Amino acid sequence: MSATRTDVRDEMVKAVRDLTRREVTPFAAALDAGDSERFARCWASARALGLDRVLLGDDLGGAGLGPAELLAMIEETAAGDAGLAVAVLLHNVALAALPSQAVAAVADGERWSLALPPQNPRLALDVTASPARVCGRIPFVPGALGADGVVVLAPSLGPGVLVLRPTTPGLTIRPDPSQMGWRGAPAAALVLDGVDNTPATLATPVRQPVGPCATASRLVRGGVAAVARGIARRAWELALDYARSRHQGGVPIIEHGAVRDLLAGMAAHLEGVGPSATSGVWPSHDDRGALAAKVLASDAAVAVTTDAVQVFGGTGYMCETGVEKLMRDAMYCRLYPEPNWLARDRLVGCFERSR
Amino acid sequence: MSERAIAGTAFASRSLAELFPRLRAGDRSTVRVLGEARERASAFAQQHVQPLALEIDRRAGADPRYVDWDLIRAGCEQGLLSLVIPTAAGGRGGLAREMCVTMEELCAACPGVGNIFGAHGLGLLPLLTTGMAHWDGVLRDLAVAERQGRPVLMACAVTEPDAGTDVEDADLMRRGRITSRARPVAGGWRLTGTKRFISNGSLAEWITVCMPFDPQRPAETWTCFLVDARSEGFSVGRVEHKMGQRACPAAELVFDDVFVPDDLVVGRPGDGMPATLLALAASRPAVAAIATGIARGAYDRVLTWLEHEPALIGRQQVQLALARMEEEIHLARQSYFDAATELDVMMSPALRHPLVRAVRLVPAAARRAPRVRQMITSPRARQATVDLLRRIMTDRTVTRSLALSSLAKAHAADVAMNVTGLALELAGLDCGDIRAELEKLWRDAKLTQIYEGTNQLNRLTVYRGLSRGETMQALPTSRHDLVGEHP
Repeated sequence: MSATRTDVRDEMVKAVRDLTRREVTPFAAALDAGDSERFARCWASARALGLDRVLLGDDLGGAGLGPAELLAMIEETAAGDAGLAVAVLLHNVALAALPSQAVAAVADGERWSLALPPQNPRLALDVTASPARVCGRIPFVPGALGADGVVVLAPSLGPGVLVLRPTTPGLTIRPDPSQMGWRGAPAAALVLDGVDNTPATLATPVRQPVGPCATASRLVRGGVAAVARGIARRAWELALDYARSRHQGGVPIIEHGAVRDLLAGMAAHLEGVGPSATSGVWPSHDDRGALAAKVLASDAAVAVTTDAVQVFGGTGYMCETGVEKLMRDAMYCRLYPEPNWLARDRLVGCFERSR
Repeated sequence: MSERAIAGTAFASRSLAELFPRLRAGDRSTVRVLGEARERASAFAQQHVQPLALEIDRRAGADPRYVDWDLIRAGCEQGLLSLVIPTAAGGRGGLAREMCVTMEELCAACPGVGNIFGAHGLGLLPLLTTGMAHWDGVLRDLAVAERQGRPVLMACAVTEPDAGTDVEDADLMRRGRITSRARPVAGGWRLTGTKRFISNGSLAEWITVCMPFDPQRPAETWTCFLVDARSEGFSVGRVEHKMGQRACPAAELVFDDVFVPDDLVVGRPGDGMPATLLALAASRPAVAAIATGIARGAYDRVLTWLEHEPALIGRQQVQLALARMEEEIHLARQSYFDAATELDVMMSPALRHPLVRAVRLVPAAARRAPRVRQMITSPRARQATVDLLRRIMTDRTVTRSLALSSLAKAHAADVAMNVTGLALELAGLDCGDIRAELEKLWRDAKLTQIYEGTNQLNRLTVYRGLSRGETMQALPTSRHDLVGEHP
């Protein structure tokens, strides 16, 4: 990476960090509560920084940065709100999965999401013979609710992607009423009942770096790892502050060995999934780096946030402190785009294929 | 949802002896009593609780003051509010094991609903472990009201805004920031202070609350009082917006110079800390059972779901995870059963004591006569209770019981977190309706690592009571000098 590009990245990461501290973190509870007005404001601020077109080139109004830069910015955003970070991540990957002419048709200010193939083989999309119609159900698409469009990736679609607008005939978007984590990116189930599978909707990606389904999945997994890191960092900061200020037995609780032990475990987890954990996501030629980063970072985030609530005790279990929200957000990193047990299985599959 | 889950629930379809293998060597009456308790709780949980669990969680999530009173009334029909009230006071006379078996069944369906009855039991505990002074007062009224279909709930208020862990450990309390205070006045006491995170706090008609009467010596002057929620100066503050167990509201309780007459002091003034330790010895097995129920609820649900997913359940990773869950749940269940058995064995002699039997022979109406009541609640009677307790149990036996209870609580709470997390991971986000139930159980599980003392505090109690063999001062001292006097 050239020095200039590093400078640009550092500058953007710093700008995102400042934005997060100023405009996202203080309103994380509102985003968690589904405050669409607040989300719109956060989205507008993110756009103003160019966070909506990180991977696109100058010609498409983008910053022309690569996946590593995107992940660094996603981590910063997630330290404020994981839902918003996921929305930014999926929007960027969705646009990058589209061919240039399709991106050009995306109006300024629009927000898109990305639907990955369902993990359960029973739910695979059904692409019938010509005239091609796509049927099926994608149960969980973060950020799909309220999005201006969704890019659907599925192996059964071949090398192409399905481009859906909320008005696409045959598409029903069903809100997810019980979404526990990432609530800043309201999820929906997409029900496809004979959606037209013609070139009008089936864009063939031609651009790099994001093209085929597997490549986009890799970027999403790396992004989820970055989200997990952001969540864990925030949990650590909150727990450390609280442990210094809360007194029990006449001393700050950080002086109690039991609390120190919890904090030490959190710190070790965080160190273990430092920035280097996600740096291997992109250069590799298969999914192993992204899968490993996703598994490690999400397990660490669940452990760190769970312990953060424990440091807070009863106070942490109450919604007002915002710590329990981090725990809920972290759990979704473990479950998306696939549950970690399946990600581990796929990780071994990468090595099998490379023999 | 309920039909599917009931049809396939792995644990619900197993016999009592399968869940508790050691019962095969036990006496028949215990097996019968526990079997009946389990059956009653299971039927109530599956018919009334499980179908409503998600909806209650949703509504209480939107409005923390939401409470499903119809469900609580339905619980009255099963005697859930008088389960541990002695038969001499009109209750069902259940002991710790019955309470635990009941809690596991309820919490496999909904831990929040289970906790309404659990927190009620916690509120009762000080009245049970400090003698018979309140058997023919509040306890009998409560049992009678229950039979009439009117739920009278109790709560136990100990935690303060600046003192959580502090109030459950005498050493920490001496250095802690206890801000509540009881002040002796003519004919009784005036209570001032704020209690926080009180389960059932906004629902209870009667509250057992602990406060010191000398802020300089909080551990030595910690005293338990029975407060009528209609008392002047008492109010409910904020009702908390919680991550889980939402069916059971947790509230802030404000005591603004609340008067409590002398006869509503629970035990002797200054005996609050031993009473707290004894109450924790009795309540922690129930929390362990709550946690076990949560874990088992998650296990049952994911197993039922996986039965329709042959591509998944055929994989060894999934099978190993299920086996691990089964293993952890089994051990958690045995640990709470051990702790509850220890407690029952320790407490039983008190209930069989000739003095207690003799009082039972006196008709209830006669026991409520003012003169008799005056005798039963007199300082001399309170002292007699302490003497009796000290004859049938020792600081060591109570310490051991507390340590076993703490062990069960900490272990089962971790199991609940592990198992619900594993269940969620197995099912993923594409699993349909079951996802919301598993997520709820995972959210519910976290509280079990925190309430009734954090797991860390519980484990330090295990160290003190078992590893180090320390004997805590867990029983009130024999201090006849204080009898009948205000401090």
